[in-house]
Amino acid sequence: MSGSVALSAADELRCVARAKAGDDEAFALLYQKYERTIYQFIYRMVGNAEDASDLTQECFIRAYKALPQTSEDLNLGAWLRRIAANVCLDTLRRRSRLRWLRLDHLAPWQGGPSRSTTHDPERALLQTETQDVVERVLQRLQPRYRAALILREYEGYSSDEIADFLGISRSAAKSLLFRAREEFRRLYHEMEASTS
Amino acid sequence: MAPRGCRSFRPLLSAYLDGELSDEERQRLLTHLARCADCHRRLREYEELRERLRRLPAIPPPPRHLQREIWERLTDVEASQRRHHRLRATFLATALSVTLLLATLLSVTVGLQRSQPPRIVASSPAAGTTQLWPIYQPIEIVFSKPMNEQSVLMNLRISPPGERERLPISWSGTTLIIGADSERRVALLPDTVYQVAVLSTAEDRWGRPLGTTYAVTFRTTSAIIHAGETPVPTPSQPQPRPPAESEEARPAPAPHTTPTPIEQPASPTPPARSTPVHTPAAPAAPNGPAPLPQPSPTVTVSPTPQPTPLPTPTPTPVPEPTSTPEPVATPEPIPVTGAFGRVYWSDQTIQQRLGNPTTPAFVVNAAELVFQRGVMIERFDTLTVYVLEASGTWRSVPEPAPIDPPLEFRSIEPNLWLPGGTFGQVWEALALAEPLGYATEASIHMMTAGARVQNFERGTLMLSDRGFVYALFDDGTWKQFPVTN
Repeated sequence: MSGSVALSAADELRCVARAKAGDDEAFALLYQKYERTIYQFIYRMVGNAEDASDLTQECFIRAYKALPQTSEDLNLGAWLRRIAANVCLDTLRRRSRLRWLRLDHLAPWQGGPSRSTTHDPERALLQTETQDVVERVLQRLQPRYRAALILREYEGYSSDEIADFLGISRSAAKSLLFRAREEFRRLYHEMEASTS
Repeated sequence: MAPRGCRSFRPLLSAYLDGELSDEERQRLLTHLARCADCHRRLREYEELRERLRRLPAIPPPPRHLQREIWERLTDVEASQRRHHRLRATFLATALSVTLLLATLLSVTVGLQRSQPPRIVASSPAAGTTQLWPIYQPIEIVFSKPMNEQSVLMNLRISPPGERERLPISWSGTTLIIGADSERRVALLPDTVYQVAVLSTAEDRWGRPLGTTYAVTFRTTSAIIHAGETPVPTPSQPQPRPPAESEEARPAPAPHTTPTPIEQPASPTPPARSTPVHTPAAPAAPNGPAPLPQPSPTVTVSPTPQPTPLPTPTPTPVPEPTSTPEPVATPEPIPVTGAFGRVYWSDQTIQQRLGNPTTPAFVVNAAELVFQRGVMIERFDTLTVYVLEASGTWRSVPEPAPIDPPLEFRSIEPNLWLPGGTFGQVWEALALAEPLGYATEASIHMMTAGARVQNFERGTLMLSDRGFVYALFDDGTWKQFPVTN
């Protein structure tokens, strides 16, 4: 099992306090709780396991260093998400082009729905093609647009939370979501037209 | 190129989809949408984008070596600092925790593990989560030691109950995986409230029980808005049943009037949430099946008699000894036993909320239909239909008069149906499409052994034959408990 250690809210607060005071075992517990969600967000941002592993490491190393300076009422989950978003955006800004891998290397149960949910080969092919287009469109989106869409549509966060993660105002987050949707729509149509 | 007026509405479309418009903005937008096909199309495209993103393949779990690598890097980073020695110690400690399963297996060999009771050390989603869970993400429950897999499966409760059969279940070491096995992965139902529980009686390989029931409740992702005035619904947004050729004479279903994003607590319709404990809807009768707390005009049209205040036990076979309630001069303690006892005596809050039992448990003929975000139960002894919403509120209505031909179940998308029969009538009459969603099963579940019922001072317990006790409190709220039948 990676990540998702069952810590109650009270236990988490205690662990944060202990980790801030330098207790590495407490930090290890917090790591185990958030490893999976942070890794998955980063994976969705960068599109491959290798980069996701590297950036997850970077995220937790930044968190480890900065934790002693955080405030008493730290919302750890939101704070880690903010660091993860920054790590991704910093990295993506530095790179002119990202490596995106298809998800073909996944184990069968980790693959797309088309691999298992339908016995209709034509429908399965269509689903796979649609997912490929969606992934390629995500790849071409500006990183901030990509982050906003992933946080909103895939992970279900509100504009307030997205604003917090990305360090912008709520109205800026709403505007970012709008522009991201517009850009996604434009690229999707463009790609659909080119493939057909 | 969109008209200038439309361009000013585009940002509102995006915010509308996220449920973040003020009442005034929403009204303005809906008025515009009613006459602008372009903006309609754009809203639909935004919704499709949402669905496409949510149907992306699941992300694989982090590699096992990630944690070790992070601690190695931390050790390097902090090598010259005072934390160095602690980090190395922590690395060792963490390495131990990472290899918990190996250590667990090792401890078996030396006989230590047999003496330790099993426990659940983690789950995905974690207990108490409020985040929407991606429908293509399998559910994982991690045990501290090897379990008797058959025992765990027998003690596994999944709501909606049909999902227990539909979803593939597999094991990876001590991890129970629901929704995937080595050959396939099956999506969860969209926009649905799930409860997954492992009962306290699940045993490890050496026969030691778990001891406490572990339950996690969560809601899955899907489109968020429930458009009533928006004529571009996505498949997972329940809409009134489209008229069929044979159903032209059926009364028109009540339309939705308000989009209800789940993030909007101020919405007039309570949004479904993962924990079924909520603001009271209205006080109900002190005992037995409660009359409708807030009568619906669509139901009062029905000539069906009102439910009787106290049910009459039927001669249906009873799983545990029961007796016909009779008034006695000196009240003797009324037992609360079996599944009800396990719920009642294990939780002091439940005892306080329900008060003392006023009748022994008895069995009634009943039927059940589970929805994406709730359940409906029909009691044939009182001709009452109970509507239990995942938002945490419940109400009861008199069974509507049957119609001819009866409503049929109709598939609306894979694994979701427009409800038929009596439940379909109530679903339409009370406009339950939004709060309950679609039915998750294609037919009404008749409880062949009946439903066990016990009345209390301030509520009722009902036991479904599919392994759930429903506690209906007279303040209009309810809770669900997974139990052994």
